Amino acid sequence: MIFKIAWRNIWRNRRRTFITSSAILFAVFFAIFMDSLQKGVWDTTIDNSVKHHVGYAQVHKKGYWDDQRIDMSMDWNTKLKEQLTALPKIKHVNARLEGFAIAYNFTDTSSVGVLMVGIEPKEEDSFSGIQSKIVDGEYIRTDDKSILIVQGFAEKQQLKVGDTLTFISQGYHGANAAARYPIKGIINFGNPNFNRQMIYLPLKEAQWFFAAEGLANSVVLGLDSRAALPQLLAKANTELDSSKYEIMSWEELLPAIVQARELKMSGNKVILGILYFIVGFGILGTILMMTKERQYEFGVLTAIGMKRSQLALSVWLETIMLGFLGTVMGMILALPLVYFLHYYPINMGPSFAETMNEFGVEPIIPTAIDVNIFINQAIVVFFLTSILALYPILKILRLKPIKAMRS
Amino acid sequence: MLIKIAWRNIWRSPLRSFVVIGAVIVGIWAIIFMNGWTVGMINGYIDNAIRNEISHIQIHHPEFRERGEAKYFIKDSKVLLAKIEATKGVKATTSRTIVQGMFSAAHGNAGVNIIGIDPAKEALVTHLEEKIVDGEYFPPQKSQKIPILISQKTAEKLKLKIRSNVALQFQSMQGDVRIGCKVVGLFKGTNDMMDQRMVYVRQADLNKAYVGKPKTIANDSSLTQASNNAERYDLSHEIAVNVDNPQLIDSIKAQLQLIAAGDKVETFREISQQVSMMETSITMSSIVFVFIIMFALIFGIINTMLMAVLERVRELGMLMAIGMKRSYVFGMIMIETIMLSAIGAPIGMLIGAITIYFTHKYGIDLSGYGDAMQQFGMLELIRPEVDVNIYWRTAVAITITAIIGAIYPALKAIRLKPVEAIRKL
Repeated sequence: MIFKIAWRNIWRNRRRTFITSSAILFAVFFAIFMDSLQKGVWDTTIDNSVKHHVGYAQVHKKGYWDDQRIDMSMDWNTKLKEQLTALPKIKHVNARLEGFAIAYNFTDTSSVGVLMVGIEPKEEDSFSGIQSKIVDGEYIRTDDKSILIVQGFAEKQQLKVGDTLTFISQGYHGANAAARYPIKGIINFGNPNFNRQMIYLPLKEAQWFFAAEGLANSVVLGLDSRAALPQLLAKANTELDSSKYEIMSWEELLPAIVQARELKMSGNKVILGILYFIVGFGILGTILMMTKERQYEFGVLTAIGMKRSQLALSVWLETIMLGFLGTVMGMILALPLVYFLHYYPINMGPSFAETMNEFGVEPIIPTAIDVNIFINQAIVVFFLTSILALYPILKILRLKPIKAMRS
Repeated sequence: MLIKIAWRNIWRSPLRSFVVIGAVIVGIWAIIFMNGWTVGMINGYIDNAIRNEISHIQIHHPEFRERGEAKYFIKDSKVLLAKIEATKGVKATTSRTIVQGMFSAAHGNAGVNIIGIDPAKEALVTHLEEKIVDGEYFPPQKSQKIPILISQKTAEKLKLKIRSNVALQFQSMQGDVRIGCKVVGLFKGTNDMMDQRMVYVRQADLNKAYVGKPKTIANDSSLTQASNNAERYDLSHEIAVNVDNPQLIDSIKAQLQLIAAGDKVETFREISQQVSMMETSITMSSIVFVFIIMFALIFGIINTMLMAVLERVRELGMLMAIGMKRSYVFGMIMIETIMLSAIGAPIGMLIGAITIYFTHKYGIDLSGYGDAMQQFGMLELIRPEVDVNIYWRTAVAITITAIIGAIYPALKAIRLKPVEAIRKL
């Protein structure tokens, strides 16, 4: 009965219904939009920092990450490779053998510390697209005895394609490591952090250099999307011998980024809080006006004998229905926008492009598509509405019919 | 007349007026605080990077930053330093000698940047003294050994303690040298990786070792030789400058460039791409966020105005029925809106200013994320601040929004037929 009254009231005054529910609609719409942008900014940051080098997950010999020495290498054989390739949702598997070395440049007799990274040229390229970042010379092939250097290093040491560098280091189990390699290509990663001291060479050659035949110290696992990671990790942990290997996600590999994200998120919560305050006030405004507008009506209803509690319940139900209507409409309205801006992100234009491009990043802000964002924001706004809907209840319970009808 | 009616209308219906005034206040407050918060975030990040690492301005030999070799040094750095100190707007300045070398201890070696500093001046510029976690910051010297500061992480890795003996090896002007040092203090900076690549000694000690023994000149009095030595040892690779007002950084840079002649003067934005990248990316997302807040606000205000005007349909119908011109009714609603905004705007500005004042004074604590802040180079307290112009612009923008928001419902109201309007419940 009361439900029926509430339902009829909603359609009796369509203008009022429209205004109140549109206040709620916009609240949900903006909250979803804001949240998905905030998450989108971080998704891009994470993808940018993961996709060039670290990858979403890595497999090492147990203990390697805490003690990154060449001696902590593991067998890199077809059996392990097949095991990893069989993991669900996996896209890339590429092994690396990394170690520090001193590079001597005999043209000006200087020496400098570098990180030598042995890569499987084909697999590495399909993971990070490294070949497309060559700015001079050519990419290395599996059997080459030559190296790729990063642009920052080339500039600093004034090296060009065709020059040779001599490397000295300590190999596997203390073996002497020394060799001379010609530079086959120069790469530019964009990110200045990566552009400083990286030397790439084919895995085979790195294994020879470090006297680590058939060994690798990290295997990068590439995925289609970050969402598939938990499933992959769970499977990998059951498949692989945990006393021999450690499987680490990007969250463990790059803790600074995780923390930075949490920090930024806490800043974002302040912004989201301001937004709730604004939309909450908008909803409150319409509810206040609605209550005032209907004083006369409430007065008449109580005068002809409707119980105050019944009236209050009916008005509360009305508001809740409007809240539901507005929330659903808001979600529907936000959906195409969020989708559109995910695939065609907001581009901040040339004034930001210069700095961002130095890091190989575009000045774009995409939205994140996540069902949870929609649900969470809808719940928050709906909750907010049902609290604000208490105002007319209080007003009705204290209503004096005569006075109300006179206003 | 119209103004009088409008004014009375406002007080006749305090609840409605309160809702409109409230919307204006909340709007102005939100935009001001949002701006302050954003600026606070960016400043917090930059200030920290400047305070701990890069300083506002750095001066190097033009080749030094590209090549990193010790032979590219600034000559007569003491004279230059004195001139910089005398420049207006400079808060503190210090010089450093930076040599790449090998750090060796009983349990292992590490490649490091050996940084020679002037302890007293360095403390004023980068607060290095506050980062000492064990031992002391260059205490009065007791032994012949050169005092050295190493990072806590290095000490942990190479099993070193205060008073451990270590050695530094590097290319001096005279060829390879090895100097013995004694650890006097352990420091912990913002980034363990960076920390491990640095050791600090006194600039005087490092310069002496780097320049090497002067060749004795026969028949020279010891006095002139001493002054020769002082000149010989007077070199630096880096001069760091902090300024009083970061807004004036570019004009101070230009002044310093005149003084520094052949050396290269750069601001922190030119030196640290990381900082300008962070600055850009925070600014970028903030602009978008401010826009969303603005839009949400505009819709909120329009909605409130719609409700506030349409609630009065009966009243407005009555006014038209007794002969008030439609244009007058429209004008009356507009004047009311302007009055309400005029009441709300200063209150909103005031509350905004008070919020900014207190949050700036005490800071907003994000220390729950302290670790991340440090890793990421952020201050733990965010101190919002707002440019004075923002207050006026926001107040004007919100007032205009409120007035625009009232136009549509007012037009709608006066188009009603009086008889129908009066009948409306």
